[in-house]
Amino acid sequence: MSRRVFVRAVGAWTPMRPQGASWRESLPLLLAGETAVREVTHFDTAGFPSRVAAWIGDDAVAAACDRRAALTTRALEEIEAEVELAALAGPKLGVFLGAESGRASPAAILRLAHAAAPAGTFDHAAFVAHAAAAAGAAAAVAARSVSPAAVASALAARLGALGPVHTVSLACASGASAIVSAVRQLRAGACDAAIAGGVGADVDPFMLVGFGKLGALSGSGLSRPFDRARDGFVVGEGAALVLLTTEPPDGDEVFEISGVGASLDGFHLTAPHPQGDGAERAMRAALRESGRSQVDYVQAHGTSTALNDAAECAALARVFEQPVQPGRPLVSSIKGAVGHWIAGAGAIGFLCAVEALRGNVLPTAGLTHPDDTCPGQHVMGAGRTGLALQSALCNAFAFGGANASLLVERR
Amino acid sequence: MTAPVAPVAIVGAALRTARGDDPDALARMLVGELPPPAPFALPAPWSAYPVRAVAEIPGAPARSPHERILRRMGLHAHQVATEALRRSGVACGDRLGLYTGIGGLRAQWQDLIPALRDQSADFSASWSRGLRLLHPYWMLQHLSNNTHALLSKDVSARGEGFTFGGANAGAQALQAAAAAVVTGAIDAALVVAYDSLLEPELLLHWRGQGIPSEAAAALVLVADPAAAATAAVADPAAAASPAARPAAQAWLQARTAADAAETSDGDAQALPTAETVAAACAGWERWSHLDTAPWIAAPPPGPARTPHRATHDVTAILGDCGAATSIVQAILWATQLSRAASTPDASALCLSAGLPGLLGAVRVSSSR
Amino acid sequence: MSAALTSSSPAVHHAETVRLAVAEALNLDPATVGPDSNLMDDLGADSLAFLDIVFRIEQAFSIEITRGEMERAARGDMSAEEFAPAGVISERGLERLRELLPEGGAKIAPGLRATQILSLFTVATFVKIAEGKLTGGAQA
Repeated sequence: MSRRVFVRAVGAWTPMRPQGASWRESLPLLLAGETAVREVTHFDTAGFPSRVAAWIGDDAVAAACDRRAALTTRALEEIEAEVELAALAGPKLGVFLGAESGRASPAAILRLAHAAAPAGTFDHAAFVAHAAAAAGAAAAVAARSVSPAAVASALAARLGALGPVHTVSLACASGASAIVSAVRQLRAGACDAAIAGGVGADVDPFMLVGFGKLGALSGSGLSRPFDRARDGFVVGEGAALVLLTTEPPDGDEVFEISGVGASLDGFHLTAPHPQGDGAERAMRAALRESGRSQVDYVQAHGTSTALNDAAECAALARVFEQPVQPGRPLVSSIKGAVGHWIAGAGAIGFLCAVEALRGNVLPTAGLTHPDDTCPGQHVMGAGRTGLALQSALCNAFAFGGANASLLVERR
Repeated sequence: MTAPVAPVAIVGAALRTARGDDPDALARMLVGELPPPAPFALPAPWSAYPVRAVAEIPGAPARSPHERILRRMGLHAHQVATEALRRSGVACGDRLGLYTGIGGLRAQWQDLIPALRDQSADFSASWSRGLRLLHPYWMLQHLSNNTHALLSKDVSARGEGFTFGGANAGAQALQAAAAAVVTGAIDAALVVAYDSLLEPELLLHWRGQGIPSEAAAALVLVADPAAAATAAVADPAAAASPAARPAAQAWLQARTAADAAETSDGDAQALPTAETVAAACAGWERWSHLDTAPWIAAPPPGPARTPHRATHDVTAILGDCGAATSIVQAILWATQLSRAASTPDASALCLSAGLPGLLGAVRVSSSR
Repeated sequence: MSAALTSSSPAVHHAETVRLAVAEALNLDPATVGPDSNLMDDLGADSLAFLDIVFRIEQAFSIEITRGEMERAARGDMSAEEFAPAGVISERGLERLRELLPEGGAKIAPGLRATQILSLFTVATFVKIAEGKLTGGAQA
């Protein structure tokens, strides 16, 4: 008999205030339909295909040797303020984090690259000779600093977690897939509690240029999922975590992850399946596990790119083609407000799904004219409060066609 | 006490290592049935680094249209995964899951140099000074799941998919795949891990933990051993080859853990502690073979009900294969235990560790 | 490149440079790539290959071709909203396409979506884009 998995607490660190904001602090701003997307001013973006991001201008975070870890720690602190985590330490506590490889600062990379390539090609002897003199720069590119698993490892150390530790590096589906992995291991008995979620820290010159050169970023500089004028995503950064337990929590707010689903399009390296075939299978798998055919709310992946949003809405329309209740499911995407966190996207999306069950449905900021290719009960303008919703689905779909869906219910 | 995840059956395997791609020969080497091979050398350009030797996969991967996106190790991974799947004979489609483990993205300095050559120290005007010269594929070449995505399309693995990262990513992938197969989320899992530690920024910090190496290794896992029987029939030519012998029946469980990452001391090894190893191996005290590198804190002795215990070290013959280590160990021990049919209840406990504080533990047994 | 170098006409030189860039990007024998070859239908290019082709042309001519300039090759100064309201190209948009991308031929028909414009591109389309850029650069 499979064990049940409950959401005990949530925490996040978002760009909703210029210096960063906890989830609690972010909620009123998100409900008001505000967006954190703004011009990037902490490095020179002249000429970049896209010059905006939803970024956090916190000096302490900027000074940290690992931006991913600094953001994740802030998110964890919000959970620590609510729950005595020390009581969970030991072999039955796991850590499951969506995170990509870290990157040294452009200055460190530049210093090493210049020294290693005096003649334009990489010279190993020059690299070694210079690195000895630039220990700081060299350490910044070392495995322990940039390993994708460095953040999960640091979390495990901080928490005293001796259970399973997974780092999911699955591009835009990482955060949601990490929660899927956590649910699986909790159900299987590999752990009784888990910190799960994801972090994105990609507001840097290389990533803005990298995504920009692929044509994935908004040229207009606006994140507006599902809108007919959408023209690409906007990079955002932040971290979101949940504490999951197999013991139901005390109190009125009991939220259970009753279904998880994942799938692969097996279609194309960058383009989603045009009809959202994989997205549909992931959602149906989550619904099947929970024994439901309908949900009240969907926190969509909704990136604000032409193809992704259309494919997702096509899949949503098929999955929920016969609503039991008119006007359901409500649909929105947090990316209009906080941008696309890449490896953290599914995790902050999941927090939105949980928040919907608390009665607060966040809007899709930036959405004013839903596209014909994006049918659905969109939540626009301000959010809705005081709703009594029972179930919510959170989607995350990655480059390369990896899809994950999480279904959470109020008990 | 909660029940551990049930073992799953290995029904297909393939690998590339510095000592070749024949699991049978590698398994014999591991248990000392073959004489120890010649030591690894230190060819250029690696002689520039503070290492004694390096262990490189001989030969380039087969030519592939994916060369525009995938690097050498990604291509090797794509090829071993395709081979393992073919040997297993399991069906592709919506019920085949794909799990990948990668060590992490590497700097790929040569790609960056044209974009960085004329940059100023403060990175001002970085676009016009060179970032505009980054190839549009740079992002895709540096995508953690690029191999995973292309593989899922090429072999039509359309069940669930995950890419795990870190020095124990192979063990993470095995642990997730086993849970998915046991719970029926998928019917079969294709698990592939690849890593190369022969990278400038990694060798710079090498501190004498074995020989830096590289490997790509793939396994196919199913919950139902009957699938293994049909597998041999599905592709008799492949099943007849020596490299297909892992399909002859072995069972696998995998676990992960991490700790000790708090050190900021550049020279500290930051490897998992004995406490972490003990926690990850709880309930696995009964083994006949232990595969562990000398730098890993040994597991607790536990109740020794198995009479003959022997210790081996896959890193001694292949070097440190990073994130691929757990899968290489699983393949070699599945091969060895299937081959040595005289010990019906044999099992191997395989440990691997890497920075920062990452542990992978795999238990391979000849019976469920 | 030898054919291009021996040519005295810049136009021939441009066309040859583009043709070779396309062949290289798609890993094709240059002999199989003609000025009228449709990138997708005839040469098997996908949307990713377009990125590589543009990059190679940028390098070869030392120019920068932005996404906006690619779009203007198809719709001129017409606004995106007017050209393709809700993603489907309008009647006026189709007219503009016939004018600017005549190589699209019969594919320029009602129902065509803005996202399908790349399917109209031939090798000659990129020659036009590159030359427009070079001329524009000279005037600036």
